[in-house]
Amino acid sequence: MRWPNNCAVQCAAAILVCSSATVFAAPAGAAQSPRPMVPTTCAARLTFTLQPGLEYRPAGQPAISVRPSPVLAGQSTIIRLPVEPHARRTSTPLIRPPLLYSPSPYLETALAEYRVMIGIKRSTSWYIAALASCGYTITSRATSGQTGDGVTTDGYWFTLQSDPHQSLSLAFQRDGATKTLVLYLAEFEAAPARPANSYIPSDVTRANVSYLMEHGPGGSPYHTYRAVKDPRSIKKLVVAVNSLTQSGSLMVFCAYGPGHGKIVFVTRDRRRYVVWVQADCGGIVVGLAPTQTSLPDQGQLVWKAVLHVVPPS
Amino acid sequence: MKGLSMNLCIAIFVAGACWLSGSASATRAAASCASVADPYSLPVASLEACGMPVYPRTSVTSLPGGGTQYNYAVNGTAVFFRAPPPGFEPLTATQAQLNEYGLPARPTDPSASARWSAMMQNLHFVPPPPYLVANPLAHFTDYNSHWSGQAATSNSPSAYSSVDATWTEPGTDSNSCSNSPMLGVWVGLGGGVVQDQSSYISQDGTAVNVPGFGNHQSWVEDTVLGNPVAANVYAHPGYGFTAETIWQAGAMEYHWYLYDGYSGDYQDLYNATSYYNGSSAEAIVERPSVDSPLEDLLQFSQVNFTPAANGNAFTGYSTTPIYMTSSGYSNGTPLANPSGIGSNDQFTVTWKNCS
Repeated sequence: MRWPNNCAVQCAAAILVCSSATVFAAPAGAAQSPRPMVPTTCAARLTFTLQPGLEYRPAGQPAISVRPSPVLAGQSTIIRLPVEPHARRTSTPLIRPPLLYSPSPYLETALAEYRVMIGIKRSTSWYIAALASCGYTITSRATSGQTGDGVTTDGYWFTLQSDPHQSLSLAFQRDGATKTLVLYLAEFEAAPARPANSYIPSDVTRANVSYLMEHGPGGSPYHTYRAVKDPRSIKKLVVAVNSLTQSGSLMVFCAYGPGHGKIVFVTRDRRRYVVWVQADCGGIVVGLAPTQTSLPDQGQLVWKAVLHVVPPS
Repeated sequence: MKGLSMNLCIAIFVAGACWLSGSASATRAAASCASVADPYSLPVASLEACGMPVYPRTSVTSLPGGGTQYNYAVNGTAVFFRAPPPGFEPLTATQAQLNEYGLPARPTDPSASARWSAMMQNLHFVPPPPYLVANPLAHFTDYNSHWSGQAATSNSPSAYSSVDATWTEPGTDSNSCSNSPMLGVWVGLGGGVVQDQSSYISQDGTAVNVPGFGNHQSWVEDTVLGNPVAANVYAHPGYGFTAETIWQAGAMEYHWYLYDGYSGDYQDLYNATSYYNGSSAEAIVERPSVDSPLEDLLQFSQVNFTPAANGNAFTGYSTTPIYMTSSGYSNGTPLANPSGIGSNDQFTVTWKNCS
């Protein structure tokens, strides 16, 4: 069980509550149009235990199922989130909620539905302010519905500023004129640290580099291969590959470019380390299946190092 | 009559690359004409001999702010270029002036503002030609290991601010591919042109047999989101599905619209970002990748697209057909081939092989 950054910071005074490891209902609220105070300080009273994967069946829609990576087995993460003071736990499902989530195998999640005893506009404002006071910012927003149905559901995706791996999808649906259904989908991207055996050793004597650049000199595709033996150039490639420390899944839908390539590092004792440079997909893959390790590289550090060491001519 | 603003293409004329794509029914030019690099370097008679229709300027009008509008009529479509008056300075121009000349709004985000300023400092307007030349030939053909479809491309980073397409969601009952076959169908902005060895793409579409997604579940993705984000609209095989990607310059955000024609379900999503590349607009069938290497392309029959960029059919632009092959080269095994864009503004991607 782990505590993400915000819990360590924001829940320091409530460790006992945090360790209860269950989603628990907030106190029942008044029925007569309460006027909630707009929160200005973080009051994260709701505790979630996030489990690997995601299983959920929205009303009238196919089930959502994200299968977790085996490396998350037995793992869980506890976070604390605000809940409107007059909200009550409910089993009433939201219709077509615009849940936003990244279908990553390293996703840990928890879901909960609440009925808030105020209208949707005030309810939404309250949550946005409450989450802002806890360090969350809105990353995306959404509205879903069905033509001719008249029921629309609003959604917001919040990310914790101090830990971008932690996010929250909240959906709001009108429940009569004075109540609101709120669906929490708390998410944590629990990508494991890079395995030690995926780092490239320092005794590399040769690097065989090949790549395809979609828009090479003159705008045409450019393909090249070169055996790199210069120690400084080899070091530049090794440093770039080893600078990536976080595992994760690469993009599923890749860009047209800038390109992709392969580096085969050969050590003094002829061990070989294969690195697939998937610049199209925002990362690299070290090793071969089934023991390969994917490393996101949104800054294209490795791709740029490859082009620096073996520039297109 | 539709209005089609081409003012952002003016910069492209400097490179001699701003061709208008003619209708698919236009006469095919002789092979020797296909090698013409700059049609404006040839006499009108030679262009016509090559099957390249010429559209003379119809009028020149003055704009309220002192600029000039050059008007043409291309196959019933009004096309115009707007040029600002001498001494126009985009860095100090008002928002109304920027709008008038089709320039992107000044962002409020500091990093986006820096990029905007850099772009504006390099802006050059040149007088439009006395006539436009339509290129009835495909601009060029491209091969890729994971994409097949059509891309409208431009040298201008803000040429396209929206792309949309309706397609018939493919059925996959006859799939015979075995190596984790997957399929993605989508539209996007910026994926077809690389800037600084990075790709600033924004896209939305559907996924079939992709881990983490339900079958035919829709999704959105951009540079900020990183990995695709699942949406709760599902396409239905054999029925129309619509996806749209819109860049909203004033708000510095992408707006994605997803609509399933079978159920009527829809979703609008918005994501703030400073990454925008409007150099291309594409409608694509993709062989997705869950880490490396690429998986098989799930077998389907055909995907029929009706695409548009900036609200106008792809036939109004210079487009590039992209062929998917196993290697990404022309000599690789064909995986999926696009047709040309027909006079009905549609094109079809046909499945060929798994891998």
